[in-house]
Amino acid sequence: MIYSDKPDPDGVGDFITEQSEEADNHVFCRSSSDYQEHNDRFKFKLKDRSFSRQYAHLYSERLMTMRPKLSKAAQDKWGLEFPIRKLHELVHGEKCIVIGTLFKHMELRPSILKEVSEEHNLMPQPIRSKYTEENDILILEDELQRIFLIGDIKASTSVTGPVIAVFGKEPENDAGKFYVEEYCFQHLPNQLPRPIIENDRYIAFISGIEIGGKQEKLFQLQLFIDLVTGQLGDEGQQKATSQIVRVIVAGNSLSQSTQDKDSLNKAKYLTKKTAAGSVEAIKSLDDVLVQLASCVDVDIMAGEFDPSNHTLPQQQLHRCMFPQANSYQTLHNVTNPYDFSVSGVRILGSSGQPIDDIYRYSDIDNRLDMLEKTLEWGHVAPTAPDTLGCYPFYKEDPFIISECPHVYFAANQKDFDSRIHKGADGQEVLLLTVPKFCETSTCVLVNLRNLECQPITFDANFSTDMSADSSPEQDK
Amino acid sequence: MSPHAISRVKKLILMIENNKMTETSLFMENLDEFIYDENKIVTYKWLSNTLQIHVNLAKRLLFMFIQQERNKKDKDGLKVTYFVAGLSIDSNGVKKHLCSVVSEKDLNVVRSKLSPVTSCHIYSVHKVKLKDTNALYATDFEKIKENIFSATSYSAIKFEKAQQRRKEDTVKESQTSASQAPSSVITVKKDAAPISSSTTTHGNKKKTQGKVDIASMFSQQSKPVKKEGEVKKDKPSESKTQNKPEPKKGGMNSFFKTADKTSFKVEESKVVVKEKSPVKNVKSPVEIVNPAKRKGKLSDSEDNRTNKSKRRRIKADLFDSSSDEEMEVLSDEEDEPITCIETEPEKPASPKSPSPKKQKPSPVSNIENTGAAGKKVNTGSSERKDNTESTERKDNTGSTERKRKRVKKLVAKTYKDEDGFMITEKVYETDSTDASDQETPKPPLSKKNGTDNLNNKNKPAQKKKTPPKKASPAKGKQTSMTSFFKKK
Repeated sequence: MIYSDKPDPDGVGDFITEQSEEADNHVFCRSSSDYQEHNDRFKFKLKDRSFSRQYAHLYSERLMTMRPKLSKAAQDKWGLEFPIRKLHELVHGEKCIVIGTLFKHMELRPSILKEVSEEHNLMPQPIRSKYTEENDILILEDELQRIFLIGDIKASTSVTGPVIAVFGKEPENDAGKFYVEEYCFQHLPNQLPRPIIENDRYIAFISGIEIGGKQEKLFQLQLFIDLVTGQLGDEGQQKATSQIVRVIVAGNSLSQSTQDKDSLNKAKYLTKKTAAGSVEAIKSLDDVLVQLASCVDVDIMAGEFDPSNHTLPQQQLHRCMFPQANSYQTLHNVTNPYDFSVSGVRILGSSGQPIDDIYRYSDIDNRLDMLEKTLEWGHVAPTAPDTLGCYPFYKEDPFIISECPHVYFAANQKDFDSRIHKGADGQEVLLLTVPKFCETSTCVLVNLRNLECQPITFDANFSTDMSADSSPEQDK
Repeated sequence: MSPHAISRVKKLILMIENNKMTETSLFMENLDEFIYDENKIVTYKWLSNTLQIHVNLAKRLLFMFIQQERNKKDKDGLKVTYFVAGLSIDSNGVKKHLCSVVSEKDLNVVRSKLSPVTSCHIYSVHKVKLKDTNALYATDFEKIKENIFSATSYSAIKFEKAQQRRKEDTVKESQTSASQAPSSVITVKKDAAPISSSTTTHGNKKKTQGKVDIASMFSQQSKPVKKEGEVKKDKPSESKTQNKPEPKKGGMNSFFKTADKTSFKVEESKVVVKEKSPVKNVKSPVEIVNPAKRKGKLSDSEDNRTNKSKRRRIKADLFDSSSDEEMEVLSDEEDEPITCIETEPEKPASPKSPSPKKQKPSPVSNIENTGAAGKKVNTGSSERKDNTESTERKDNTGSTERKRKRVKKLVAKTYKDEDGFMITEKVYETDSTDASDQETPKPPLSKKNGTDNLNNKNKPAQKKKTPPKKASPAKGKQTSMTSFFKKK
């Protein structure tokens, strides 16, 4: 159990001691695991793509799908005596429950209409890290109407998008506003119990490799590859590493600097011969992936800076980009968000864009808290399509969490953090933020047996001290 | 050889004679050479890849070497870096697993911070003192690049499921994906790429085939059908790269007359053709049906296509004096079997038409097969076309060899292939006493590449396969013109 809080390694330092009797060519077999993909709702059929629809369908689908779940949750919480009313049926002064989509009105929110409007004559708004302020107002929208929400609900910790059930009343003297006493979201859906796994099985998460950028950590990345493929380490460590069954490369494998949006504006004759920055970077990434794929199952997700579509759900990176790595059957190109299960453990997560968006439009500081909130709201990306780019879905909203995962992760975050979230029905969800590799040189191992996480940091330190030149004394 | 080396060799021979030579000592000798003589930075991974031994054995060897050197002399001048891993508690109180490469001096310091230590072994040995990790990374990187697929073959962990896909699987995949997304150019590329990467052996064959082809031209008159199949498969990647920069060479299009637009379409459709061996399709007589089909599709073509066809016509003009065969052969070179077909009706009475017809079936059948796909796809088909063309050319030459006085002449032929590359090749042309010339089948198309780094990378194998580009002056005296088209 080397990759745990209490490692008990054996064979340490074997290769710096006198040779033992055994030959040094132990080969460990990597454990295999069953894998199932649940990604179908995120994938597009190429023929069906149509961007000419409006987003209203997505919202109405969301509301329609979640309304029954919310009514159940509301009735469980407040009992059956209070009626569930639609906004147009509200009676003044009557305590009731209303279900609708939350909308947060923010003055500072960048709006293209304001920018181009002539009467305002505004300069384009500067880019800020947070667009929230004190005066933000919450509004509840259902199918037909909207109403202001005041009272016991804080705008700063809410975002646009989740479907909410509020309990309160519309005061007689202040029509148009709903006074909230309590509110709730859907119950965390049922979770299939985790199967009992006897041996340790690990999944390695790595994100934010950002090849092609200034911060790329190629040596540390090579150390990661060497470790996972079983070249680094003493025998005990190699044996433990053979229990890593899957590597998830969770987005931003290319750096932002490889995206050259300026070339779109330049004249063709200037940019004809320049190769895109992402070309070299993808080749390096292919070299990285082919080494990993020769030894372990690899899933590669697209991220914000990767050559995939901008709107969520991001489609798989195309196979042709990884010609060498694709010659192995172990490479899988997957969507963002990614929903799958390994050995019966259900894992759901994204490359971090939804969480980053919530950061921009709310006051919550801790990324793990934001992740937990999205789990409570029951939606992977609540701010889509309002402030987060999203495909105009028509038939269903695929981001609704309808089956509770065992592991819920968000990649490309600032640091590693993890917590177990306990649901009302005994569900246990491991919330995990995977840090950016280019900044922290850290990847995360999740043990499927007990949902423990262990970050692994790769380091290379050479001191520049030139004084000590003589080699140390060796046993003579 | 240096005296040092000579003495070493003598020692070796002595040891062999004395039967004391063991594998280990052989390795140690090698290690000695690497470190002292060649002044290399020997990492355990580099050593394991070079000597083709298990990584753990390499680590052991490094240690034994250090022991040996340090026991012999006080100062060996060797610098050693270690890999050490263990659990550490960082500033936030988070327990994390730290894996670190440190120089010997810092080893104990770092070790003391880890509790427990899970690994500690030698990472590299070298004479030079390292300031940072760049040199370490570089040596390993170069070694890996030499053969990327065997980079992890000496590791301590094997995974049975990690098998390389066979060609047919990749082809099938690309077929299904292409049928789902006829508009996707990339699928064909993918189709081409794994094939190219996994068939390096084919690439070698292709090279030799290229040279053999010229020879066979003069010696045999048989149709090398089998070669066609192989060569075709090698070609996909080539055409891929060639295809890509095509739009960028739009400026050159004006040099070429607007040839059949259909020919362009044919290319596209060809691309979508999956790996069904064109050889099988050779016999299917589809030529006459195709022109109609193609013309119908022509209406959908974009500007690029018209440019291509323009090119074709100009090319035809340039070689006005050539016979039918030549025209057909030329168009073949351009991956345009259709032009063959088109010229056919124009000169139906040509005695040589049977042979072109014979040759055409393969590309034509390809076109027919891919009739459904109307979009511009990459190299896959164009490569196949190349293959067919080359074989066709061979056939052409073979079948149309007449009893004429022939003089072998080295001529530079310039043409624009479907990717938009101007390709100039020196070809042996047999000048017969008649006005018509026969072209020898060209060696596999060399790429005057282009700008597409991605394609280049995707087919490093193909690049090796293709013979080096012959930069002969285009059109005889206009030397300066070729330099204009070379990649800057």
